[in-house]
Amino acid sequence: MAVRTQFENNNEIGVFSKLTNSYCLVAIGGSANFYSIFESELSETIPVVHSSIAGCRIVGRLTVGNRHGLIVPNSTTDQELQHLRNSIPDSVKIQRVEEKLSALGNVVACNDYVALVHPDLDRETEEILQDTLGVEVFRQSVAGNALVGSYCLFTNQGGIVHPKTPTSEQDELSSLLQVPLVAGSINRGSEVVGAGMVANDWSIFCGMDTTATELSLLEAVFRLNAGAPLPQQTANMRQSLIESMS
Amino acid sequence: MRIEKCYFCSSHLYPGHGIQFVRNDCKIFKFCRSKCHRAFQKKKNPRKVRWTKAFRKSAGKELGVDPSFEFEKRRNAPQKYDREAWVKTVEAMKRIEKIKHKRSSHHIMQRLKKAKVLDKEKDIKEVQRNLSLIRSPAAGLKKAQEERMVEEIHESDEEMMAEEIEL
Amino acid sequence: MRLVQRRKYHQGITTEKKKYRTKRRQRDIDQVFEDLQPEKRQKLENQPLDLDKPGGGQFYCVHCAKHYIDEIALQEHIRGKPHKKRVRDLQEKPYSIEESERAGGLGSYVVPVKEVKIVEPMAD
Repeated sequence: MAVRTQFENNNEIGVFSKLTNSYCLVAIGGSANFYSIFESELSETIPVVHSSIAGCRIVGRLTVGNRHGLIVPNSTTDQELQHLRNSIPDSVKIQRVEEKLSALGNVVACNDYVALVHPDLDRETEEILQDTLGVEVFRQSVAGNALVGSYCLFTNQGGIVHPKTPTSEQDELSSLLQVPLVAGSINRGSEVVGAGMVANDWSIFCGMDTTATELSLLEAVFRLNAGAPLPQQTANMRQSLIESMS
Repeated sequence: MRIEKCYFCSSHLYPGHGIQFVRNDCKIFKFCRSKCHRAFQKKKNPRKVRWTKAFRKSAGKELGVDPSFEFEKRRNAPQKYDREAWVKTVEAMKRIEKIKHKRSSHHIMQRLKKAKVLDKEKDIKEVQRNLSLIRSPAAGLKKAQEERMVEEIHESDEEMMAEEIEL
Repeated sequence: MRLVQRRKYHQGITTEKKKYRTKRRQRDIDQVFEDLQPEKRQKLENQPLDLDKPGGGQFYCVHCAKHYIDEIALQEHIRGKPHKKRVRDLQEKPYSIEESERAGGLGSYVVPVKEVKIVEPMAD
C-alpha cells in the first residue's frame, strides 16, 4: 500500500528511514505520528527499528541494505551497531565499512539481487556489498548524476528513476537490473526520488506533498495493486503527469 | 564510548582528550596531545621517532607479534547480545590482560639478559686491549733477564771446566 | 637586584609557524604513495592544461607533489637532494592509521618490510 507521511514537516522520507523486505529503520526522536504510520503498516511482518547512525537521524542516506544484509558507514558508533544487531533479525548480516563516501544511501541503490553504485566507490566496499547483500554490482550514473542512491529507487518489482533520464538510459538500466523502470518525480515534482520515498515489495511511504498522479504512477510501477496491466497504465500516467507539470 | 589510539604515539585517547585532524580524503587522525599533533604537522615518520610505540615495536624493543594481541581489535561485524557470552568475555579479558603483561615483560627481560652477555663480552675485550694499564708490559722482564744471565754464567763455567779438562 | 628585561628575539619569525598551517598543507606521504600507482600516476603526469597552476600543470613531480614552471626546472629538481630523499622514503610502505592501532596493541604489529621498488625516471 502507498502511504503519505511526513517527518517533522519534512517530505524527504527516504532521508529519515530505510525500508527493506526484512526490516525497517526509522530515525530516532521524531514524532509518534511518523512511527505509528510505519508501525501500523509494517509491524505485523517486519521489525521497525528506531535508530541513529553516528548520532545523526539521516539513517536512510547513511545506510544501505536489503533482505540479506545491512551496511553502515565507518562513523557508526559501537553502541549503534550493537543496537541494530540486537533489533534486526539474525538472518540479516550487518557490516560496517571503511568507505570514503560515507553516505552509502546516496551512492548505492539496490534491491535483493542487483545494486547500482557510484563510479568512485572503493573496490573493497564493492566486494563487501557483494558478500553482505548478495547482489551483483554495477557502476552506473543516472541522468548524469553519480549519486545513484538519491536519484533512483527500485525494488524487486519495479523502479523509478530521475524524471529527466533519457529513454535509452532507462532501457539500459532496466535491462541491467531486470526490473521495469519509469522516470518520475516525487513530492510534487522533486527529482530526488531516492530521498523522497522508501519502498519495499509490498508498501511505499512517500512525502505528504506527493500528488495523486505521482502516487498512482508509483503504485503501478511498484506493482502494489496486483493484476493491473503495467505498461499501458504507466504510459497513460506519464502522459497525464507531463500534462500536469507543464 | 571508545578509547581510541593516538595516530602518532599509539597511546590511549580517552573521551574529551586530544585533538583530531580530518584530512580532505576523509581520513581521521587522532592525537593524544599537542606534542603528537605538532610532530604530525612536521610530517615526522612515527617509525623513526624513538618515543613512539611504532618505533619500539618495529625496532624489537617491545613485543609486537603475539597471539594474545589478536583478541582486542576493531571489529566491523557485530555480535548479537548474549548475556552468557558477555560475562565470559569479561572474565576472559582479565586473564588475557595478565597473559599479555607476562609475555611482554618476559620479552623485555630476555632482551636485558642478552644485553648483559654482550656487555660482558665488550668488557673482556676492552680489558684485553688495555691490559698494559693494569699490568706493565715490562713487569716480568728484569727477572727474566737475571735468569738468563745466571744461565749464561753457568754455561760459561761449564765451558771453562771443559777447557781445563782438555788441558 | 635588577630585573633583567626579557627580550623577544623570535617575535618576527613567522615562516616556521606558517609552514605548518593547514592552509599550506602539502600532500602526505601516504597519499603520494597512492598517487604512484601506475594508473593514477599516468593521469597525474599527463594533466590537462590549467593556467592557474605553475607551468600550466604540465610539469608535475609526483613524488614531491609539486608543480614546476618548465622542463628545465623539473629536471633540476629531479637532480636535487630533496627529491632523491623523497624517492628513498617512498620505497617503504607508508605509516597508516591502521598501523598506529596495531602498534597500540589492537592486533599484532608486524614489522613493515622495505619494498624495494624500481623507481623509473619521470617519463616526459
